[in-house]
Amino acid sequence: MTDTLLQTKLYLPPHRPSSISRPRLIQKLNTGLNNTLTLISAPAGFGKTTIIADWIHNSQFVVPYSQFAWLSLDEYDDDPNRFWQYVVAALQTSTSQLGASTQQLLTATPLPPPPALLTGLLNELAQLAQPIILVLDDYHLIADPTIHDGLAFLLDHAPPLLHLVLITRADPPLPLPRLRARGQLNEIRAADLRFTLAETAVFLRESMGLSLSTADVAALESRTEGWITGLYLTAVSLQGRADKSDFVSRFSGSHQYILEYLTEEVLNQQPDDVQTFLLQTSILSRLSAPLCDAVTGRSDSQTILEQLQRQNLFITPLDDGRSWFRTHHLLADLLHNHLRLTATPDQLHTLHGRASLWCEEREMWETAVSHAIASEDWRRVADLVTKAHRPLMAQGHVATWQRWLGQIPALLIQARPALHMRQAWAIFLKGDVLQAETMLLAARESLLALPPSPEQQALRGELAAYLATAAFFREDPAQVIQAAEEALACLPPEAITARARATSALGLGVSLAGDTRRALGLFQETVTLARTGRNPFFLAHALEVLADGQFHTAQLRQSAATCREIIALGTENRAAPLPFAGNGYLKLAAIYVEWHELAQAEEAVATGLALNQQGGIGYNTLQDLCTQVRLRQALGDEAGALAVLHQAEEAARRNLSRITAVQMASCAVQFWLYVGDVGTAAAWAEARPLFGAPLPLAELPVIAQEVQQVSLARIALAQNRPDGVLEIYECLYPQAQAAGRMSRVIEMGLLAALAHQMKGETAVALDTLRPILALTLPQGYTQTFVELGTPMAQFLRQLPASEQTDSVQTLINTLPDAAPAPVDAWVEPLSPRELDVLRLIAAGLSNQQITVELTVSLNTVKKHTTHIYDKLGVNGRTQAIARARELHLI
Amino acid sequence: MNTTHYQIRVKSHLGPNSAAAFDGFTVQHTADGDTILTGPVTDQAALHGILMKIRDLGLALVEVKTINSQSHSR
Repeated sequence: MTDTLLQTKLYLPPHRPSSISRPRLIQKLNTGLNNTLTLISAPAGFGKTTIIADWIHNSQFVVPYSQFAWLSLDEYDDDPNRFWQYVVAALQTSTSQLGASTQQLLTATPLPPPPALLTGLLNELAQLAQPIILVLDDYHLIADPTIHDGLAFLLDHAPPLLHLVLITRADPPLPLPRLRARGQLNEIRAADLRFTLAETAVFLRESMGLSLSTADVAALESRTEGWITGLYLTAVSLQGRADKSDFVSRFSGSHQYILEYLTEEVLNQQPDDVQTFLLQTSILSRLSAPLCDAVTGRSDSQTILEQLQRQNLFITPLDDGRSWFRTHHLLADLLHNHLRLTATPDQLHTLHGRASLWCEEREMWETAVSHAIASEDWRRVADLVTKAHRPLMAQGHVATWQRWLGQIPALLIQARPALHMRQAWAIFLKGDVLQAETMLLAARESLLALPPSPEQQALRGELAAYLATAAFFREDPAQVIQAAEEALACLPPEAITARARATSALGLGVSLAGDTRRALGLFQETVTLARTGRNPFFLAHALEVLADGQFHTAQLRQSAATCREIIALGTENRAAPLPFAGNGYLKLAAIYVEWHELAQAEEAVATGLALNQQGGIGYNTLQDLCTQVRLRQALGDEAGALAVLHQAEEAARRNLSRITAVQMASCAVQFWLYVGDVGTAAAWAEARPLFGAPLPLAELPVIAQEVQQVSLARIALAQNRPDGVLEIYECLYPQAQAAGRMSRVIEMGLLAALAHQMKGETAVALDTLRPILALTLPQGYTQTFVELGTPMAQFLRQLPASEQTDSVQTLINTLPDAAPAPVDAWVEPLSPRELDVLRLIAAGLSNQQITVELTVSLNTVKKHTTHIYDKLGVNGRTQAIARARELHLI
Repeated sequence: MNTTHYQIRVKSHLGPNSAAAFDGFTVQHTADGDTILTGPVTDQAALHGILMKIRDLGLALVEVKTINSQSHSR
């Protein structure tokens, strides 16, 4: 869009020679500066804009408000990105650096929620030396709820130095009753804006130079009900008439009738060519001489515009250079209706077509498209919308672009692969993956039928990247990889963001297929590409994926550093954290849990959840819920862990992902083993409670297969079936090791070591343990060992003294029950919870008392005691206590 | 300024959250499944604000009428 036209939206409308001084309204506006908001709400033609512009022009009235920012909204501003971009641009007309930090966020789609988006701007406004008035004219054109939400947030948090003026034809859906109740709202409505009898007299006499009798003035005031546009047109019609009284007595009726009647009157007073000019240009919302020349086919538009402006008729200038003008809204509508009645559809289409072409040449996409739509030339609309894609996306005006797309007939979209695939993508983002994929494949076919060109090649790359993402959602690694590789082969080197997205998709595909090590390299590459771009949201996304990749390749320390970078990116030099900072804290919490630094973990979870809440993310991802279950469990908070586990179960049910389901099931298995309920744990091992039947291994991607296999191995160990554990180990361990899936290598290695130990094969057990320790000790792994309970503590003590390094000692000391290993035969390990119950039994507490002590139900206590008796091979409390002492369990 | 009372009928029963959007209005559910909102409306701009809320909530507008049509203030 050309700069001058853009700037016209930010100009304070010039002082109208016809306006009169209205001290009662100025007084009301000045007094209203004590409030946060002035609302000027009245139908068209009541002089809303004029009174505010005059008030600002005479700004000696409004000391100390020496600064103002003006924004005339138009129909294209009903797009959150565009709206806030213009608000910032308006504020910058008074203070050039204002909102610089916010600007960077304004091309993101979707926009961050209001706190993240606007807090920085509000803080800057709070630090201004001078108070500022921000005027938003024609706010009734805004319907997007997210814009209203943002403005409501701005009003709620407005610093005392900011005063907002909203000019609108209809009350906006903002919390007006609350502002009214708090005395923060100054309202000027139709009843205030109407000319009083005295004002009518002054206006007619001084502004319009009419000398009318008192009776005629009173009659006009009464007939127009003080409606300013009506009075103005009447005055123009009366100028130069001899029969003034006759004229006044003749007309009466509704506003609309008066307006229509008077417009005809005024129009007819113009020469024929000016009349034609006004009618033909009534299709334009803003006029400039070159544009009018293009539309009318004349070459003297400049002269006509200047002449109309001198007469102060119909049009007002929009800028100091007198290059852009606007027709009065009401008159423009009437002229346009008149044109539609008198011109043929073909003539109308031609006018709009010329306007569209002129705007297209100047890259004024919004106006070009809306005239093309009005000319009903749908092919042209489709072509324009295709061309406008790149510039609009660069600005973040996704909402506008998709609104256009929705107006184009389906057949025309399907004939243009560039449109078809982006429509498919919009549908994908709304959640219909299957329909989107079908459309993408159709678009791909028509795209491949086109002759090869650099442009076709780039589109192919973009489309393949969409296909890769869609296939990732279906958890189909082969298709993800194929599509992502195609994308990378087709995308030009300068398309950095698109290449970064395709690289990320390829990494995710490779990771789904199980090649974690190669995936990690691709995630690192994505981060490198993302750093060269300036989009903090995409960089954060790339870092999050990398942090996960590092975590699962046993690089906890690097992963923690990546998490800290995410947090810094989202918080440093920002007044309000960006929404992804919360994710950084939550991922960091998972690492703290593994390090058994439980206080830090709790703090990171709390900070992460609070930031997400503040950022408008009201839900937890399944991964975060599993971290919380593990943390509550580590803290011995059984009830808390169970509550979060139920949330995780609900989330897994809503989610269609099998990988997610398997992860949740694994979390459940560990919880039920921890409380000693092997039966329930066994049911969860194959996610049966989620699907009603075991999830068949063969149908899962390899990374999910292994999670499920580890769960099955845990159950086998708990059921005293070491051979079951080792069977799984032998098939899983080498492949996980080869591909770098180190989380599974560690879990499986430790389970296998315990299985060998269970079989009395201590030497093999230790040989199995050693490579695992080599991986885990430098990275600080602790909780994975803690979760394996007493047997793990006892087993680690079997390491020869030469291998009992400080870090091994530290690990052993953190594990539960560091008592020396019993010489006795193997006893199925008691869970930490069962040990608690056993100690209370030994202390002589009744079951009822134990329920109070552990805040669990009687049933749970009974279940625990049954398990304890079973495991110890005893029949009652006394025997249990004796056996436990023998085994050094208490 | 004279306030006019309006009665606005929309399709389907409004839940308490939607009803809360119409501050100052009484909300009445009819037997045939509509909702009638009754309340004071300052002027045309206020009326249009309410109609826009109805539009934004996706409600089907059935009828708008004044119930004590007082004359304008002048």
